[in-house]
Amino acid sequence: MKEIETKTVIRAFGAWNSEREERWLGRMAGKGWRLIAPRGVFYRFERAAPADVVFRLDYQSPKRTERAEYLGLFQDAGWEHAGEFGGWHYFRTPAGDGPPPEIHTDTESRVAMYRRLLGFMAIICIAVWVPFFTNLRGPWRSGTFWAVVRIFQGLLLVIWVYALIRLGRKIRELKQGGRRKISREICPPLSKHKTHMGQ
Amino acid sequence: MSEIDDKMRRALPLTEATYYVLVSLVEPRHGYGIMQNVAALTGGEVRMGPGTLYGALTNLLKQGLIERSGDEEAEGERRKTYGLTTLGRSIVLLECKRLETMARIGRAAAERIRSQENEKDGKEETTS
Repeated sequence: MKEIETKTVIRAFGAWNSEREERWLGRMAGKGWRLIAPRGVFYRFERAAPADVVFRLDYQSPKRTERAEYLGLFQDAGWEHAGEFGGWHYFRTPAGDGPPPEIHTDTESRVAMYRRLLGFMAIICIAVWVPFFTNLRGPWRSGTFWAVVRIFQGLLLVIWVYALIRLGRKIRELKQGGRRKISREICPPLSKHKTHMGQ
Repeated sequence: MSEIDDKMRRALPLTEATYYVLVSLVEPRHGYGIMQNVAALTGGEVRMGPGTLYGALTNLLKQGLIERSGDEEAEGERRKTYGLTTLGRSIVLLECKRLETMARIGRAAAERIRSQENEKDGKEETTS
């Protein structure tokens, strides 16, 4: 049997920017690279027939006993579980002709998803990165090596805090965008409204 | 009693998603059954994604408005059946009452707007 060609691509996406990741995975599938294992910034693909698919990411940590049910819901709704990493679940489905299919169909659940992520990342920040960075203050750890280590740790902390800020902004935008969208749909100009009623 | 009142206040008003899940669970259903029912009830207008549904189910379970019914032994089973709790039933009744009041008021306002528009049109026709 011929071995299937695989490759690993390194690519980083912001946690606040999962839509961009979804689009990229869709484009990869279109080029004939089927996602088999997402591992943080490492994405493992295998050669497959080019497919017009839509990817959607969910951030959710179902309990062990609820896992089958969680995945079952997506399966019933026509989504294939392509992999998971660190609480992110990758789902794909054929694109179809209509508007792209969605796993989150309201603003509330999208906001809730990013809030869960923000909560988790804030805990990691307070419990791990801040002590990790500050513990190294002290005269007994001098020298180039420790200076480099501290720079890396500082960088990690800065990136993490930046991600937290972007996530917070994302949540705010979603909330405002959701409201804007609803008001546009519910309150069309009166003249338009009349023609609708005439139908 | 006050504890239940408190729970009720926190659960209301419902989001569109939790509302449709609750009214679907007047009869026990599993997750996919809820999705199908919501689509059927709204003539396909409201489609609930699995991510939204799972979130709504988790919240409603936590709030004690719904419960897993049937075989609890069948852990890890793919399709679990849900039903309303007593609290959930009260919430549906309360929310229904609230929405009825809102709809009644809204209908009156819509009537008024329509008659105002007609008056305006009538005037425009006579002047032209």
